[in-house]
Amino acid sequence: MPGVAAVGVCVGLLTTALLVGRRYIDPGSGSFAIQIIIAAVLGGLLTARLWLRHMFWRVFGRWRRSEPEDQPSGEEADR
Amino acid sequence: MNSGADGRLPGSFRDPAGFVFQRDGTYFRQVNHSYAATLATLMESGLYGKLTEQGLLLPHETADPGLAPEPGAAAVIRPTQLTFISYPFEWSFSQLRASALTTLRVQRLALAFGLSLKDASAYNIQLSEGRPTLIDTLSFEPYEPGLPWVGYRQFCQHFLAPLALLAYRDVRLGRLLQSHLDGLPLDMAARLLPWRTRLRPGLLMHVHLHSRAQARHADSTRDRESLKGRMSRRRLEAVLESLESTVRKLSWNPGDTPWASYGDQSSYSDAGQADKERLVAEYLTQVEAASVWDLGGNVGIFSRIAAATGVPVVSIDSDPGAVDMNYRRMVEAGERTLFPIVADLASPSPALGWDNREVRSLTERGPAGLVMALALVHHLAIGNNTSFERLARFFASLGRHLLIEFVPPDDPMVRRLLAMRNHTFPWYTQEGFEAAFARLFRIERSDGIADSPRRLYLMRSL
Repeated sequence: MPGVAAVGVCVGLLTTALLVGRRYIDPGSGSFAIQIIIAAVLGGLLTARLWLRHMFWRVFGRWRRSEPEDQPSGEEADR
Repeated sequence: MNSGADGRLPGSFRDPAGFVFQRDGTYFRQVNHSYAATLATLMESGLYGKLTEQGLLLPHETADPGLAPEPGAAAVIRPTQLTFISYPFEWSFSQLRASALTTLRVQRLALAFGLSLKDASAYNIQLSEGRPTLIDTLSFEPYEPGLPWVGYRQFCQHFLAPLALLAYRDVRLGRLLQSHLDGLPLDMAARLLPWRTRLRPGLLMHVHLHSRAQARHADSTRDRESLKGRMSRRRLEAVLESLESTVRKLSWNPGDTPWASYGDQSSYSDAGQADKERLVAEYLTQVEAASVWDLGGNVGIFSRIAAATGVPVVSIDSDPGAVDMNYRRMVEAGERTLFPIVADLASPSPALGWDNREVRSLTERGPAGLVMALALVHHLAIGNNTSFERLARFFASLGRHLLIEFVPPDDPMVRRLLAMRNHTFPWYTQEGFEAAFARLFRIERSDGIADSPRRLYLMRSL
């Protein structure tokens, strides 16, 4: 269940970021740190979205005349 | 422009990759050896061609390396010469937003060619051919796979946080950028923004959480090497996409500000307005000035008449709403020689930055060939308690010719200005106006405006 895992990771990362305390202002490493977290969250959400889309086509695609051929897996999309 | 003995511009000293200098009125850029390889990649990878083709990067040509004022030059380039430099605190909301989108488009294209912007300063963007354009050819560095974007903090401080404040709080807060040359501190922006901006995912991540992360990592000793391998290119692109989407969702409507509707509530009848426009066009043809500054330009009606003569026109107004409407019309019409800026003539943009020489004052960016001051004198004289002598001195410092409108004391607009004042202005007369200006100018022509008590003057400084 990569999609569910990705959503879980996103929630965890955001919670961690929200619980961060306020100390001094540093324009360098904090910006890199949050950028890495945001990138992970956005990457995770993208993975989840693609995985859900993939599952949707697997479940409901059988009632369609033909299933689209190029549905990428989450891992591929996030690379 | 003020430059050092070697022609080097005082505002161009931070970048080890090179700097801007001036020779005989032409601006050049010295490219140091440390940047030679990156410049070669920029030129040979196809990125330069792509960026200049799309109007995103200021084009340049190679110049004589012997012009370099300092040792260590690998090359000298001559960028397309800019007509007028403006600063982010003088931009309207739409210009700041468009400049933010230009920066992101450049960064996304650069990534596709193996380069990345090493900074995201709003001061690197200027209007060229009517479009926000990156002017710093030395802003690139090779993209290191796995590294986050080094310009992220600066982008949020220079663009995203100010845009959010303008959109959600008050458009006049753009002036905060005047006191914060490296962009708005994110903790300050986060405190000033309404709580509901935390419900916008883009602003939550890039402003609010970003601000908290800066505080959290204040004492971190992490260096750039330790960041390598922390972010895949796909994830970096997702961050850029998120920034772009956040910027695109920010909007502001100028319709609520007092001056934005001024053009519609003209003090003239249709015949009067037509006659004023005809006279202004005639004066402009008579002077043939190389550049025009339209003071109190509002939404740019007369700036456009001046721009129609093909010369660059700086359209200055203190109301961000009027300037935003002016900018939007400029973009819609594809006008290329107009520069709408926000500035208060009662307190024009000062010289700022290191040694007060990085950012030039408004007056230092002149003089103009012709200064237009239409329907303005009464606001400065009565509204700002400024004598005609002081006004004449100020206008004379800005340009050689002056196209000025005198609004007589019995004009309804002047009566409105005087209504709440506790003293009268006995010196505010046509005779007093002409006598004061005649000390510094020769009055070359004067015409009454049809169906109006107002009068236009064409003057030339002595």
